[in-house]
Amino acid sequence: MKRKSGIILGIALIMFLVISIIGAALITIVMGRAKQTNDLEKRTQAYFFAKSGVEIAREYFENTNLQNKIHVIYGDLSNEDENGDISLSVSKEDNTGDWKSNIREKLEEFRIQQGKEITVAVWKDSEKTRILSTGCAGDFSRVITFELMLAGNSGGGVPVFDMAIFANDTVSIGSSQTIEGNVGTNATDTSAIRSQGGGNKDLKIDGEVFFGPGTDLEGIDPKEYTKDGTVSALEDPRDYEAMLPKFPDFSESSNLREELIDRGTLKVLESSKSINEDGYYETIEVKGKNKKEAKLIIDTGSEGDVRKIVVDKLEINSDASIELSGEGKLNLYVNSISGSASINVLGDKKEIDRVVVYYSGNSLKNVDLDLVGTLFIDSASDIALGQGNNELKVSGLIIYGGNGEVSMKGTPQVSTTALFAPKATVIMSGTADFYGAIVCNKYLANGNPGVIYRNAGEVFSETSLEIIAGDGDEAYELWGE
Amino acid sequence: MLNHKPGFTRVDFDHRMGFSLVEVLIALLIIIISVVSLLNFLVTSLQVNYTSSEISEDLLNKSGNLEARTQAVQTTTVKVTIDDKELSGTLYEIEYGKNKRLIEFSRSQ
Repeated sequence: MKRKSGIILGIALIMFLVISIIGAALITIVMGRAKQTNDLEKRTQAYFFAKSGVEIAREYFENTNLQNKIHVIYGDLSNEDENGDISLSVSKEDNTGDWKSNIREKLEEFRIQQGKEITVAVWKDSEKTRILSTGCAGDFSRVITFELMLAGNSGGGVPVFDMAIFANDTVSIGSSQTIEGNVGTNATDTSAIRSQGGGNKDLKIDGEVFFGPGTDLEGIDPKEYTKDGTVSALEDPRDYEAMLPKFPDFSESSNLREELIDRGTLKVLESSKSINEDGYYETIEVKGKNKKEAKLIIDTGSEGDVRKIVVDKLEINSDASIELSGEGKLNLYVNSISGSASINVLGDKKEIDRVVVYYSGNSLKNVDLDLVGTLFIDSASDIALGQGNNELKVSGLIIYGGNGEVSMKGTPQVSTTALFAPKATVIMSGTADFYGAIVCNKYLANGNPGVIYRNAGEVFSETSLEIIAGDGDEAYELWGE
Repeated sequence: MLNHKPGFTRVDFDHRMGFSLVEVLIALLIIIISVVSLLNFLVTSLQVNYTSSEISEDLLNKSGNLEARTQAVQTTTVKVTIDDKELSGTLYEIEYGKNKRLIEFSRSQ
């Protein structure tokens, strides 16, 4: 037999080769698995960075006038300084050219250039606020898009309380009146915003002036209207009347009344009592005497609860008050108020939706109401804001659904009041000062009153204005990737 | 030459047939090294696979916790400065794996 020299070494080497191939395959599979895990980690963190970017941008634009710029915020979230604070940068790009037409690509270029964990663009697109956020971890990036239309600032895209005065019709300004803030109207006649005497010279509005869409502004001298602002036309008309919330029915035959237990009459005389449950009261009488206070404390329950109290006659005198306890909210449905009612005057002036007083009576002629909260008047007449007798001193939101007059002879509140009366005529006279924002049908002023704009959306808490525009039905947040 | 006994067929031993001891030893050595290496790979692979699975599973759980803001999430109030603007919010952190962490910022409500 012929010797096959070295064949066993050949077989051994082949076996070695086979084993090596199996080993290499094993390594490839396992390394693939490890890479998958690593990628998952980075993708997950990149997603949270992108989401954080949206949150930062949302907080940023609420405190910033975006104008017509694309604000690009970028930086590292995981690089906290010694105080635990985070520093980011912002670059403001013109909303034109590539940034306008291809923002996604431009933002990606920007991200690669900066190499930061968060790169987020925020800009206004008509009435929507748009955010494009990129999160980056290692070599992975994730993009989140976000679109927002605020309930408190919109109703089908219409901003509310963004001007000192907005009237559907005319704005007649007092001869020596001060207006700090923008003034607007739906009217397309440039004389719709005028001085009391009829002309539009030297109105001294310290802000911008807006006329209705399509107004012919040829030949207009902005200086005649404003101190140093501009005069322009709105892009779309503002139909605030359509945004009036529906006044709730709490008449005897209403579902609300049927739900509530009839608790008769409650008298709180020179003492303190509590209400802990919903109910219907024929009369609630809270009266002190000779400086001896009477106090009705309404327990609103836990956070998220809404205490509902319907009362036909609410009688309070100046030595009495209604106060709140608990973490919930109060809806007080009132058919008539008499006397001098103080409701939640010690409450948080930001949380104006904590108390909503619905008033269905015909008149507010003999009513002194001191309220921190929201007052929703159905259609009563004789509405006077101020701090004197028979006047409403409201710190918060007033919604008036009627087409009567709202007069102001004195200063209703130094803190902010937002007046939403799209069918009414607002009349200011004397030296009344109004701090806040007015939405009305017509605005008339005599003498030298003042309107000093305060942004209700910023002053009040986020949910406070949701009662307008169908309780936020028109609002939306749209997330996407 | 040996003499054959009657009834027996003589088979001559040809020392050129088969493998030498050295060949067998070398072959055995190669095969043992290969098998040991393969076993080593196998063990390492199983370990890596197990660790990867654990991390993936933990990551999915913890990212869910982070989204749901469960009690396992650590919170720190932070200030975010963007140029001259100061925003406040909360930094949510959760650990996963052995010493890794996921972080997310959320603005103050």
